[in-house]
Amino acid sequence: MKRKVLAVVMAMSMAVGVWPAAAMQTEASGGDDITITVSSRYSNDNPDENYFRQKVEEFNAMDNGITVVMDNISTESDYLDKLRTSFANGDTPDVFQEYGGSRCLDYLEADALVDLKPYLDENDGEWYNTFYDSLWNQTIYEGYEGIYAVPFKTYMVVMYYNKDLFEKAGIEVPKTVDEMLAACETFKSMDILPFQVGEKDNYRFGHFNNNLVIKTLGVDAVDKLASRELAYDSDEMISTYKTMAEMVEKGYFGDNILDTDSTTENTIFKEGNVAMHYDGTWFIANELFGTDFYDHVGVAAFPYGDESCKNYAQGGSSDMFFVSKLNKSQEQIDASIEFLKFITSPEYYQGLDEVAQTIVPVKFEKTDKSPVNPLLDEVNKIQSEVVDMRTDIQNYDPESHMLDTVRSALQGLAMGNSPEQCAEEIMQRIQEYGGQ
Amino acid sequence: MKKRRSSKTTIILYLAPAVILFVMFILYPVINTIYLSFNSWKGIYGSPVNFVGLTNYKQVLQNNAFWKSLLNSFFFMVGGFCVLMPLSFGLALIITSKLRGTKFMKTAFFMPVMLSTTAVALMWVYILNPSYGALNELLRALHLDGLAKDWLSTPGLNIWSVVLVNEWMYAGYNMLIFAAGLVSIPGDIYEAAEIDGCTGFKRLRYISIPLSKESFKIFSILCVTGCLKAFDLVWAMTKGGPNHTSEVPASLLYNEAFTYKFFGKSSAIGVLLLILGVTLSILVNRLLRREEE
Amino acid sequence: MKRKIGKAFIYLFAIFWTVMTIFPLFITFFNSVKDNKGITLGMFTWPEEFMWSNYTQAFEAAHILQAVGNSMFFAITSTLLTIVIGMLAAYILSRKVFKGRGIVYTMFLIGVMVPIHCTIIPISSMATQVHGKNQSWFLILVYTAFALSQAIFLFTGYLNGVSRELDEAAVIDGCRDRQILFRVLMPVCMPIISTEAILAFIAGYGELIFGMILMSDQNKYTVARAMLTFTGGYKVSLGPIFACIIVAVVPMIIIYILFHEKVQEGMLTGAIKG
Repeated sequence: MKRKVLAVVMAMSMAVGVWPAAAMQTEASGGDDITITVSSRYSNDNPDENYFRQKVEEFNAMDNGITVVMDNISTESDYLDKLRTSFANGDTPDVFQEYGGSRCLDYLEADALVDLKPYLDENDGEWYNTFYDSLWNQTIYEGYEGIYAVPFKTYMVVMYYNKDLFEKAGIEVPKTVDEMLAACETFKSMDILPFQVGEKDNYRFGHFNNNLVIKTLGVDAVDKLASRELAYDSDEMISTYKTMAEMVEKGYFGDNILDTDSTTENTIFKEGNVAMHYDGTWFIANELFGTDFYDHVGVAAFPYGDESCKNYAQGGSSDMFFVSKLNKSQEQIDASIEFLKFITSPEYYQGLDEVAQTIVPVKFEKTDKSPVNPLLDEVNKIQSEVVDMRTDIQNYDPESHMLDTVRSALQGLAMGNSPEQCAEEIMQRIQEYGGQ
Repeated sequence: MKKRRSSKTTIILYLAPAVILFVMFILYPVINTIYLSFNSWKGIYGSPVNFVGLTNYKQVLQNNAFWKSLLNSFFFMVGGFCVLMPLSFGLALIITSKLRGTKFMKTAFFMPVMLSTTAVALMWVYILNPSYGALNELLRALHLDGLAKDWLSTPGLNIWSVVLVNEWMYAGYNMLIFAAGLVSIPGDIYEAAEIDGCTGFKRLRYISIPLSKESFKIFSILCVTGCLKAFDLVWAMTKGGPNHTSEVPASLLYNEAFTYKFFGKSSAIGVLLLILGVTLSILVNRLLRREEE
Repeated sequence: MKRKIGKAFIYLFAIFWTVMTIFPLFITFFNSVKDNKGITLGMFTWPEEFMWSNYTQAFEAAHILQAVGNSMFFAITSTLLTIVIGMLAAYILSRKVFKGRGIVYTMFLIGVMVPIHCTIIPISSMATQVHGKNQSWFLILVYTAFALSQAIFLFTGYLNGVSRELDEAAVIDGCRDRQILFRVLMPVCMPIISTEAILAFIAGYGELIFGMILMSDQNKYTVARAMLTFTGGYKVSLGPIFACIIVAVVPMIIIYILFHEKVQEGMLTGAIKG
């Protein structure tokens, strides 16, 4: 009897397992299409990523002789496992999503990336001009001619705040870092959490520090840090760690920040017990839009530490698409370009705006199907005042370990490390990796 | 009578499938790792592989983080022998005993492994949360506030929290290995012992444990090697953090290669782990053999 | 009296540990019908409302049923291969005397200690060369190879404990190697074979990295790969992940119970230990 059950279980699983395999083979053998593979992290079941996949299917349905095979892996470490492995073996996807900066410098050095400038410049820069000018700084590399990526998603880190709690406290939304600290103190005295940061995901302090640097020391400081003209243990930098260490000590960042992850951070803020929450603009579409909490939230620029840096921000292209030329034919590259033109077209973003609104890298006309979204309008207003942006500071660093190094060291602040220890740790790691 | 195959042919024929698979999927990657460990490589097809001699090894061995991570995997071993081994052997005794409900119990004991690391890790992260975690709430309810700790963020303590969750998770797994040994002890040995008045603890001491020595040997080697390459649970619970305090060698190896793209250095860690694994396995084998004699 | 206390103590511990290990199943189930808020703010509480839509998402967005089918197929085939190939090798290592036996044995041992991240690039590159990407057979071979070391290790250890008198008697009866192995030793080894079958099955069924790197075709996603659908860069949906886990764990429990019966059967046949 048992043997029979087992046999049935096996036969069933084999049938299920083999069936799709057989189906696929017949599918793949038809037509002389060019097939290109596109790797991205957009496999989530949310409006914006569903839209992406739907548009890719739409592209496949078009009669252009190109078939796109998607390979979407949402978790970053798993995505990188696969991408890095494919680069090591020389069978890379044709088009892949990455975040630019130093993480892709190695690919460029190995001559694995297509220079997109000729394509962007065609017909008097027809494609180039659809993008906002300010976004190109992340797609170019010092010492290399050309443009190596197209922006696909953009973001800016802003300050969300709970309107009710600010009203209750009777204070203004902080414009400067000092005002922010004062506001924290006020909330603290009222037994309201000023922030609840989920530093178990260490990008949270990373972003906070980015903003302190960009809006206190300026965008130049970012470039100087990369060239080591400005040291990570300079007084200027230590003062940014110090601000954070003090905020940790006074409990401004919340309770048990090391044991809170960013998902929980979002949930707690939406529960309405936390006064402020700094986050990317994606927060509006992913977490706020369509919820009851939407009306209780206001948005402002991240506070500045120095008047001269008031109009700088952390932001830029978060996600970008690159085209690989490792073992790729010109036809495949051309097909990749055509695909990229399709998904960065104003029409693409027009449709996106109807289902998931956020700030985007391409200029487009809104249709009347786009929903009303005051928070996003506010973000656009903030963005219009920004004169220069930088994304994660360590993305501009020549060394690929720096993003992780700095974020880990900042995490140390949450454990009670002193600003000096934090600085020392970064310097030590730079030295350790120095010889490479 | 048919002609018998010579013993040599049988040996080759029977070993061949295993050896072929092994050479393809284990030995070839290992050789590749050894080769890369003497070179520097950015991990991009066609980019130069430069011979650097022992530089990678020097860098790894001079790096404090590496030694700290080794210490952490040593803690895994301590936990493995002091907690996991008695626990899983005890569970094996229970499920192979004549107690009632063993069928249900053995399914329960194995549940953590079946539920996947993702679920288990997430659950424990919430249990161990210092402010609203179940553990600390329990301790506070028992008026043991002093014992309520920040389990996953206190350096020194966090690795032990992960180690204990690891033992909880894999107790059922190792239970199976011990149980396989226990069920093969013939029933008549127990019967004979019972007649001699050898029951309870004595039976355990003079029959079950000595007759399971092969299982203990297997466990020891799997434990030592498993601890050296521990990765999944650590990654899921702490990602080696905060601030690298719960890093293990395998997470360093992972970051060096897949985050920073230093494939040579990463391979050097891999080779060192292999050397350590082989050495410790041989050592364990020797130790247990001596005891037999 | 003393014995009774001892027995009570054992029962108490057994029950305690049962509770300790079974509760995650219930928690997983409760969480599979909650949203992010319900999970992060009250993981251990009764769901306020049962959100069955998480299961709809698991079925429709992650195609979890197909993934379960795929994983079952990969895991069962590789388990069978592991057992047959492993027994063949273990028989030789345990019963035959030949030059280099120690080396071969130690070599197999390396398989249980090699860190997985050292192997994925070489194996993936091999897959490209032999056109093994997106091919079930290649993934099955990989799973087999990785389970094999532990299998050989367990089988050899077990066979070493089985009395040689058994084979000698069989040889006298005119049995050849094949018959000794499959007719005489295999039944005696049932406890360890079933045990390894469970371990190999669990390993293959839940495996993520190779399933993800070698398979890009959504029709061939494994369970762990399909579950990634709900973890994203900017948002994680915890509820559907738990729903997937619940769906995936059911076949695993069935297989486990079926196989572990075989382990107990070994007890009844009363194998001979030397």
